[in-house]
Amino acid sequence: MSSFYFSITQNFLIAFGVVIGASLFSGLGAIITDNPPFKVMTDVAGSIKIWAIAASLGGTFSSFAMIEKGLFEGEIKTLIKQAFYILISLTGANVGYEFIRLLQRCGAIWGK
Amino acid sequence: MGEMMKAKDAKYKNATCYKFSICFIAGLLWGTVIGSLSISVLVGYRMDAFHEKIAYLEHTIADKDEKLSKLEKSINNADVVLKDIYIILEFNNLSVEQIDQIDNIEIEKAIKEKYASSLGKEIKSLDADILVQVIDKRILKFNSTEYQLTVKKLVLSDVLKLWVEVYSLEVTS
Repeated sequence: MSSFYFSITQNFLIAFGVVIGASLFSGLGAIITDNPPFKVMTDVAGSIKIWAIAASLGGTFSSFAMIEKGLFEGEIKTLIKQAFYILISLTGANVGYEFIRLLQRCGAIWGK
Repeated sequence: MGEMMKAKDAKYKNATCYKFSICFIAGLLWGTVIGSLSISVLVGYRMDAFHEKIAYLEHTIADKDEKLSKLEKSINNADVVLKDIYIILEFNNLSVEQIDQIDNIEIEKAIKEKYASSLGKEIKSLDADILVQVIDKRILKFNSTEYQLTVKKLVLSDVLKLWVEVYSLEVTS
């Protein structure tokens, strides 16, 4: 398995997991503190997306350093790679967000 | 040899006990986490719906409270006060000719004097029963004649209307 494939899988799943985990536990927290759980979950999922991307990339600095290297030292391949990693993380975070929204939709269907 | 076997057995038992207790605690913790997360996901929608309902009902209550306070204010502003008193006298044992007009006016005047303090007061602060009691069964004396008053009917609005039955009493002395 190439390191590139490993990296994109990791990035996707970390971003996805951060969003899902944070949302689920914030939902639990909402129940404890007497707040609407699904509303809190979707709010948290929406706001944490960007942090999930940052976390999945392993901290933004290395990624930015790579981008800088790509831009100023002409390493286009690294630049494209980093852009792809960011895109995959973004997808993972958004899939996690949609997963939470899906839960809400399921609740709306079965709750009626 | 036997002692060595026993020590080995005890060590094995301790290790097994440790393994089981660790697995038990881990299972308990993970079970709690997974269970509470599952419950929160399962009851989440219903709780959201209840929160929405509570918010809606709170809004409705606030709206109704505001309306009620405004209505109460308007009711207070539109307080009806007693503006006038009308006395309708009905002489029971006297014919039209026998009725002394001056006495008639005097009776009316005396009755109105009794109710003078009620003029300008809010209608809701007046008690119809007390108003009746003021002149009911009262005896008025004018010159040589005595009149007993009985309230037949009372209407209380911004005008107090009293239907009073008047009995002329015979004066013995």
